[in-house]
Amino acid sequence: MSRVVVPCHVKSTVALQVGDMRTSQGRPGVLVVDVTFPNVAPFELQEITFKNYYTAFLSIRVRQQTLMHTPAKWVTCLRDYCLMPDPHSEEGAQEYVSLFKHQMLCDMNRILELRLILRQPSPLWLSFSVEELQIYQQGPKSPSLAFPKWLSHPVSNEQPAPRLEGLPDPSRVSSEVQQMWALTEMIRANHTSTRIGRFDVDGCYDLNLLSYTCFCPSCPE
Amino acid sequence: MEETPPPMQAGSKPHLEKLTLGVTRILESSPGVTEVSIIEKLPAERHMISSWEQKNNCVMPEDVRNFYLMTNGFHMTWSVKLDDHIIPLGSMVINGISKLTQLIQSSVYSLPNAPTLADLEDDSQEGNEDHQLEKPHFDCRSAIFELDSCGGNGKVCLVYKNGKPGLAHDTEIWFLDRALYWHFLTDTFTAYYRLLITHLGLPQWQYAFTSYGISPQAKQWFSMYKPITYNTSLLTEEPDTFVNKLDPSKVFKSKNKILIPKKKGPVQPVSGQKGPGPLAPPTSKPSAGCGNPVRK
Repeated sequence: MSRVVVPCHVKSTVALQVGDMRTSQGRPGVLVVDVTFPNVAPFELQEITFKNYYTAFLSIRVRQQTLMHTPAKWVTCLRDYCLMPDPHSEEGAQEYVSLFKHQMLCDMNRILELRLILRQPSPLWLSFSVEELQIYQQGPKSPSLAFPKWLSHPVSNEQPAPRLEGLPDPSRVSSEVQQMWALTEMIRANHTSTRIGRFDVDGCYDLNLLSYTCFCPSCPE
Repeated sequence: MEETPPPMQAGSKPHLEKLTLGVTRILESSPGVTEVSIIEKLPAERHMISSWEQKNNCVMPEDVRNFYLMTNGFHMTWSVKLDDHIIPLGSMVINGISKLTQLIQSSVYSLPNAPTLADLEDDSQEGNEDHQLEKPHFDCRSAIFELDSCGGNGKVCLVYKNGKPGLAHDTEIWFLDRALYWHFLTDTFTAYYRLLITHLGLPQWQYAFTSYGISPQAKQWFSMYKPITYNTSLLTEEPDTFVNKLDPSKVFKSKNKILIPKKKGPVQPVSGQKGPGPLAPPTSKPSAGCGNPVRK
């Protein structure tokens, strides 16, 4: 399917915390990234791609243009999507992620704004984020893209295929390859059935015997 | 109001040992453990509890009230000595009454469309509440008070499930992790206090009650100073390691066939002795050689 990048503005990250932030000594585990589309009319979202950086769970909320004159509300279209199976380990920590329209919980029509909620419960990681965020919408179905030109105009049979300079003759190469294949088959057919005997003495393959005892006639024992 | 005298060594007073359920002796006898100290605190006055209840419009549960009447907060720490370096490891904290504050969102951003804690909760989660334990909410549906800040790795909270006015029997103890996910701990404060003591205040011990468990670093400390009620399923999850064992006696085992050549050895000298027997005729030949000078 074809897609087109929607120009967007990614706002700065906002940390969510509870309690008095002045005495709070911990690092935030919830970050919120708002994505706006200043010069774009409300569109239908097709795909979201980004590169993960140690985010364990992702939720996405959308604000859509309503048909009535009611104010637009935030709706959750993705809830606690797992990016890292184990928040304490590296798996999935820096992967490229694609989220498609069919994965969302609601319809993605008339998008005004996006809100990405990043969550990382593990205390191990100092920071987490998403990078290279791209938003796509359905691309136009132009005839030139749907059907390439070389398929619509079959090549005429009058002109023979032009020979490329520097390459050997294909028929000669083909015959040589066949000869090599025949030689390989002949060698395989003449495979000998003679067994290679084992180096053993009196039917015993023991390291001790080979190491300590020698039966050469020239030896003193 | 809270007077915090310098930390005293555990065991100096018998009531502190009763307060910690005798866990200080276990710690002091563990290898490498040092500087086990309890910051002694004075009991809270009854009017402090009453003013807290009036201020927050919540009735304090009986066990929490009795705890504060015995000591206004709890703080016990212990360290580990590693090659002349002392690393503070264990920490058991229960906030005093003045720090038993309600958790609300930090009002740093006042923009109308700014992200809020309401973004973390969904209306469609009501379907999950049928078969799951209802989780606390950050709005007026719940009243949440911080018992322990867990060194910045989350918060242990005293939760009044039905908001305000809070009744004593509506309380539960929940763990709020760093990502603001809720995890149930216990029904009562007494049960939580026992968990706190038996887990020895090891780092991130509350994460053992979450779906993702404790981190590998914390698991190392858990294996070294195993808590009394440690969940052994974490240990059994690891598969048994298979190690190849080298048996030197089997590799260099001697055979009976070696004895046969050794026996042949003595036999050959016997044949060697027989050799001089046949050599006697050659000795007669030299005597014939002696006759040659006679001919000269």
